[in-house]
Amino acid sequence: MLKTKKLVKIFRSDEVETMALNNINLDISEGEFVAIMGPSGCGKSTLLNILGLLDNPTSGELFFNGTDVSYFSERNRTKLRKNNVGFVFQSFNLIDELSVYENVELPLLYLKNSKAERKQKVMEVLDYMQIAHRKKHFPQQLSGGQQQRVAVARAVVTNPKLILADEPTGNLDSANGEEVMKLLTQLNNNGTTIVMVTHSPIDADKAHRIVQLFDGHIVTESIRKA
Amino acid sequence: MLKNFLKIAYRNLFRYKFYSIINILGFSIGLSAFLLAYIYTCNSLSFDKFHHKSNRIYRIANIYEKDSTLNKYATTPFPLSKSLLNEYPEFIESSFRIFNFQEPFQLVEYNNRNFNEKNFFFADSSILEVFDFKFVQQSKKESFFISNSVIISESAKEKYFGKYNPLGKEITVNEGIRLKVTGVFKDYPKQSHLHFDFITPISTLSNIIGNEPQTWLWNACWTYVLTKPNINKEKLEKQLPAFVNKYFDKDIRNYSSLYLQKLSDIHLKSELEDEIEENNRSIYIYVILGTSIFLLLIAMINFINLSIVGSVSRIKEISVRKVLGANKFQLILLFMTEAFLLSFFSLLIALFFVETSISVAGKITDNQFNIGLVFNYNAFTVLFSIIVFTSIIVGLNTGLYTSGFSLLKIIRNKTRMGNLKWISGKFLILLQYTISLILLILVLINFNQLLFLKNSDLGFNEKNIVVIPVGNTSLSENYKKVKSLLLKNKNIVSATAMDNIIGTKCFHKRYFYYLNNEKKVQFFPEITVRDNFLQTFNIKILEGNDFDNNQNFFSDTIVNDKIIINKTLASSFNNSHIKNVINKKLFRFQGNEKIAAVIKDFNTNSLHNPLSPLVIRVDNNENDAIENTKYLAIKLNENFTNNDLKYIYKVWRRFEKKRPFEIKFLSEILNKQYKNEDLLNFFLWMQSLLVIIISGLGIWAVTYFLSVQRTKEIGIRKAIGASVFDIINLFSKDFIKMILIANIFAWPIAYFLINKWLSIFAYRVEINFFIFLLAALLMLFQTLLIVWLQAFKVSNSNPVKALRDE
Repeated sequence: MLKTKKLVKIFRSDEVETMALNNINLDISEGEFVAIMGPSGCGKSTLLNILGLLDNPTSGELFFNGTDVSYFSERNRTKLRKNNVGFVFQSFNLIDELSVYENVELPLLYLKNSKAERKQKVMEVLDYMQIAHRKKHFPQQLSGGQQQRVAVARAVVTNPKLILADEPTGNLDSANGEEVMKLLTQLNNNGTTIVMVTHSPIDADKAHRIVQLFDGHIVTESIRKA
Repeated sequence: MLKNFLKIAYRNLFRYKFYSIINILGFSIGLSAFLLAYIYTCNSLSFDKFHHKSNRIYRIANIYEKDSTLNKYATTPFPLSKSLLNEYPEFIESSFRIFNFQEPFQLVEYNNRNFNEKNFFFADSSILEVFDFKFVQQSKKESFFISNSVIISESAKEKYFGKYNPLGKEITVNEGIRLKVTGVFKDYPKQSHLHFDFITPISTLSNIIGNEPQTWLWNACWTYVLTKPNINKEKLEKQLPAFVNKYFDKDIRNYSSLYLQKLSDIHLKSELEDEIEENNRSIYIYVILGTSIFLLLIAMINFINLSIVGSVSRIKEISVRKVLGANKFQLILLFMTEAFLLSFFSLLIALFFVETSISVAGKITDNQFNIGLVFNYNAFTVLFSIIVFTSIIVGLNTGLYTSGFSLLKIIRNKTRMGNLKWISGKFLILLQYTISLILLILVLINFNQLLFLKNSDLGFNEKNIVVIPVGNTSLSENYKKVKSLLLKNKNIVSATAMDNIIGTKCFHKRYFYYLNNEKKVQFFPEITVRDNFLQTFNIKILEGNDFDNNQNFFSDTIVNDKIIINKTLASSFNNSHIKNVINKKLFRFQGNEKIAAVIKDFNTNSLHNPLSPLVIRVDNNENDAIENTKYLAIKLNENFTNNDLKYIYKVWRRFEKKRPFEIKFLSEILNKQYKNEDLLNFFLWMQSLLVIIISGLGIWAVTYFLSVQRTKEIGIRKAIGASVFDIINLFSKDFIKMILIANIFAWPIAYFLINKWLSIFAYRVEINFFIFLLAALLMLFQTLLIVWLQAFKVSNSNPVKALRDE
């Protein structure tokens, strides 16, 4: 589903150049659950952002379902992203001014779904995430675990083929973290490809494969489950 | 503490350059516009106050009201001045008359210098006691201001005598009258309702026209009185009905009244016929001042908004102050000090701008503005109040807003006010939009009205017609010859003459007629014309026939007894059918006149005045005809060239060797009547341009702030799948909503103001709702342009940066 060839990302600021990713070759099949691990600043999030088409690589290639999307225009990346990718962030990144319902509804709005369709899909996913009773609340009124459930709901409401999660349990206590991991595993069991950046070996344990990054290189890849 | 605040405020001014510049720029534009309008207002209110006795000087105005006719004249009969003084010595200290021949102006010659002089007056000697004159040169008392002497202004002296001493020299007026110069006085300032270049005693006039006119039926001169100290105007005015009854002609005394006009009111509050110079209207001045206050308000609102916006970038500094123990009051004081410093800088810039632009503004408004009007106690109080008031509001608003920040949130970096959710900001932006919209609608309507005034169908065709003043010239004596010479040019279609320029003014003449055997006397506006008048101006005859243009009007055997009236007058005689008035008699002094035709109404005056009755008459007596041949009107072919105008000049020179040739297009003369409206229009356009600039600056700053505040949200939205268009949309939504709401407030207010405004015009444009829409669209366009540019920039930024957690 996702394939990178010699992916390089260099950040430039005034006079300093930082090589965040160096020659990354990675192949992620459909239905896989991949965890990316490594110390802070090793390029995990950068890789995730490029995989999620939020950022362009400096060089190298990225294939999405066989299409070379490495240098897609912003417009095409947006199109591809909204139809295929869901994001879950460490700090949830919910929009404070929107209610739970509206936050989850947002991607559907950008997909131009009808109102009835949106309502049906949002309610379905909120029920599934067991957060429907708080649909009128605003993010600030929820606990961290609840916020992350809303964020996951928002990521999956469009039924994306790929979910990219950036330390989804990083801001949660263990009980809530476990809850979120359960949700992700369930989604993966239902066929969604998941790429997750994490610091937690326990969370990584849920993945099929663990990719270890260090200083922008892939150092090891270990397959956890067949 | 204050010193510390000032220091911090001063540093912040440079640290946050973006906000400081926009703030100072916006506020100083607002202040400058206000200052210029303030100067203009003070200047207009200062008219005629340079006379020491100004508050005791009055001009006598004369009202004639009968049935539907209402005429208000600035002029009065010759005998009025002396009779008033004789009758009321306990009220009146002094009185005088001034008189001039009006247009065409007097030809003054000295040593081969010839000019047509507009400001040539005859006056009673008491003018020198009542009005202020500063004499630069003056001859001995016994020869000063006696019959056939003249006193002249400094600029007239410069024009005719240069550096030479004019005293004792003789000037020639209208190629015959010789007057000895006996004094030179300083020119009156621009702030005077009249200007003198030459003044000769009224006794000189008697030498020219025989005896001084004794009739009470001719409003020939302007009469001024100086009341005794401590006499109020009302006391004297109370006596005037009895005076009218005693002195005025029996035909008019029941319909006439007199009142006193304060000298300093003439410029702004007098809208009379026969004014000496064109005045202004107080409402125009107040509209300009009012709109400039609007503009200042918009600039203030900007200031308030920007300082909130600016304070957010300083969240850390403010939170540190709070952690260290700053309370609400201290924060308010801090922001007040900063606002004061900013507004003080703005004021300095505004003063500098006004100082540099004041002479241009003076030229545009045909005034001499004086920056001194700003450097006085009153102006300083106003200016100081404005900046203190602004500082207080800004300080309170920003101080209260920032003191409401939760420290915990600030430390967690969570304080944001991404969409326009801070209440005062929302309200102020709404207010700003509302005011801007009202102003825009006013400007557009006023412009529409001006176009309407200038392009209205006047009832006659003014196109390709040139007008030449010929009164007192050989051309009036040789009218027939002049005309036949002119008509030899194939591009001259027709020519006629008249006693006043059509569409600008008319004399009112006494007529009488019989209604149910009862003699009725009435004054009607009248134009005395020469042959081919209706044809030249393309005036439509509704009933009857034109004068027989081929007839010899001065023949002893054929008496021209025809007059032509307009539809308004005809309808007042016989409302049901104007046909019935043909051949009805309408007498002049001794005449036998019969109504020969009824013509379509046309505007005899500017469109400030409604349609009035009108009589058109041709003189039977050649001398009278020459006397009334004051303006030649020549209709040119559409294809006329400069050569045709040169041809007209050559004809002029055949009859007039010395007098300067003056030629004007009628359309130009007619348009000039709307000089004040033009000026107002210019002011309003400038102000609306400034409104767009100032509010544009504000919107730019607010959207910039929003874009910074919403960076993260935009990142999230983009990650989720929002396109550039979606982001732009997100930004515009709040502003569009705001503009729509502002329209709801602005439209009724603007409608109310426009209705009031237009009611001062006799002819007014229909209120077109398209203009309201246009104003709304303009505002929308301006805002969206700015918002879109900003949003486009943001939406193209990399969302990854926004989403980084640290």
